[in-house]
Amino acid sequence: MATPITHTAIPSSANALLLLGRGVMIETIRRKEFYVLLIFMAIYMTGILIAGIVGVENEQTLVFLLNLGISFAYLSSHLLALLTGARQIPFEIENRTIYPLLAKPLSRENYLFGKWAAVTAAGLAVFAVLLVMSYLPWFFFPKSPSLSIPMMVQAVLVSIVSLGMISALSLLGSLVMPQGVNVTLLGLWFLVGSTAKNLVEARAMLSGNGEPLKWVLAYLPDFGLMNLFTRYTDGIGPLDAMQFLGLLAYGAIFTGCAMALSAISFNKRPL
Amino acid sequence: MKLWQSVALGLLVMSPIFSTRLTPGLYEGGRSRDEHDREARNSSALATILGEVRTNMSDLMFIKTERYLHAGVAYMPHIDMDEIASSGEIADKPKGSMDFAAKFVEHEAEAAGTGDDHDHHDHDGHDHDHEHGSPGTLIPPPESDFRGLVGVMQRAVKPWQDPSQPHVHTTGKELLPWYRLMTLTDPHNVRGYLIGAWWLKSQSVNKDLDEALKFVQEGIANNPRAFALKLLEGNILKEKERTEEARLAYRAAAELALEARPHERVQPFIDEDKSITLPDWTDYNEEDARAAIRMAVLSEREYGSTDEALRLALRYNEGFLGDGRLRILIEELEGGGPPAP
Repeated sequence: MATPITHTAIPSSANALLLLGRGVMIETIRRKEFYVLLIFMAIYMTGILIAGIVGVENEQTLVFLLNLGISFAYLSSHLLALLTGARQIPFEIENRTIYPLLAKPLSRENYLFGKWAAVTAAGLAVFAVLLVMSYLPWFFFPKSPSLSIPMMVQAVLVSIVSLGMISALSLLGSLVMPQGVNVTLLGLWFLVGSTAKNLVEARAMLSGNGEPLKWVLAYLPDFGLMNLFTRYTDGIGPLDAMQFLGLLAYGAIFTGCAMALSAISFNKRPL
Repeated sequence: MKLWQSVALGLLVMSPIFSTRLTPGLYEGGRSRDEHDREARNSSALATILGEVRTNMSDLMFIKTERYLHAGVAYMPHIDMDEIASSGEIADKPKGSMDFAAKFVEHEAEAAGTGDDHDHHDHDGHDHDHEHGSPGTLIPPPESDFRGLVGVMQRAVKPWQDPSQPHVHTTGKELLPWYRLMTLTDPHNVRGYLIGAWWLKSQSVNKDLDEALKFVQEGIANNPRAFALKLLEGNILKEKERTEEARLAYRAAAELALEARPHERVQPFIDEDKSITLPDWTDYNEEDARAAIRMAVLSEREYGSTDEALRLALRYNEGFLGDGRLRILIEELEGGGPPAP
């Protein structure tokens, strides 16, 4: 006896979110950025393979290569999340694909949340793949360097939160400024924001009014705080619980705020 | 505005209360900052192939300082920060050499009558008599340059001198902005503070102890657990003849060193008389820590009380077993030893 085919006329919100996520993942794989990253990583791995044949001279060089690979994974996944997040809503509006989505029982907030989760997941998938690949130099050196596994776990968890943060900020940016400006500003801030903050803070401290400025600058997200991989490759032990939880809370607060502001802006936006 | 949105924004408003206290980059040692590791990386052919890519910006700045020190002439990567800091010389690091702060303290200790007889480097940036290698220049000399006219032009246009000739060293004054920039962009760059302050106090002309003290104190404010900075502060204060403050600075340096030193992991290296290669505690950290405890005892003997100096020495000896210099000091103090000069 044939099984009756059932149709869901209107997908539930959860189904809609899953569909959104699937769409973002497919789009990410189709975009050229993904392949550019793969090419870069292939160049890195070729270099590592050559190094493996020539021989990694010492432990310091091994750790240096490891740091280079992990830093590349961290940087690439964040930039990919930024680029993916920045184009989601503008492209959907431009292509008018947002209308059938919002016509379904899917609130604008849920739509935003779905986009954020999908962009973060895309960044995370890239990060996971590149992170595993960055451990390739390990196989070409007989002695394992002393690195803290708990520190590695902390660094990865904080990076996940950091990916969520950059995804949320890129979505917010896409709602309040043109795509090019959003990508440029957020990209620059991600790359040099921490150094710029340090510089301004240090100058202000010298002139005696550092504390108020330090407080004001704390409202700008500091991605430098969230990258713990140099600490890990430096062979330093894990952060204490307060610092670690503080970093997770830091990322969560900025993510939450960016999502809140995005929701406010998106709800007021006429489509 | 919905409740969750209000909560998120409210938390952001309050977040500086804890976010200004987040300091995951604040730690002693570490491979990327350690000079021994830095040299090992720099000696790697692979690192050279990667085009002087380094793990952090300050490492690049250290390379820049080498160029400045040689009046723009680019020698092969050959960085020995101990030598640069102490004498302005680029040289192969001799085995078993110690950190420049420790070298200075050894010099001080000798002046106080407890040091061994061994060669020391002068600290005036000019006068040095130690042996050094002769690293090649990045632009090759005519006899080994196949490029003909292009090579001639490059040697004429770029700063260059024959690598077999003695190096021309600047006074180190030109390096100071780089150390300033290093510490501005990374306030936890303890080494940047140490070497910058060292150069400031070591200028033969316009020696600026006040500025050096200000610089090192800024470093201490940003890195309150960095005992090497406290040690250097003590040295500067001593030179300024602010002896009581110097005594307190040395004491603080010794206490911080005691706290920071991972005794259980370090002691086996000392007992087996091998080089310490822990990522968070290397030979350099050990030498600085030993210099700190010795200077704390010496300054206490010189400017405080002998009884207190003996008490300190005995206490530090529990944590620094195997320090011969400290044992000699203890013997001297117990026997009423030679008075401080």
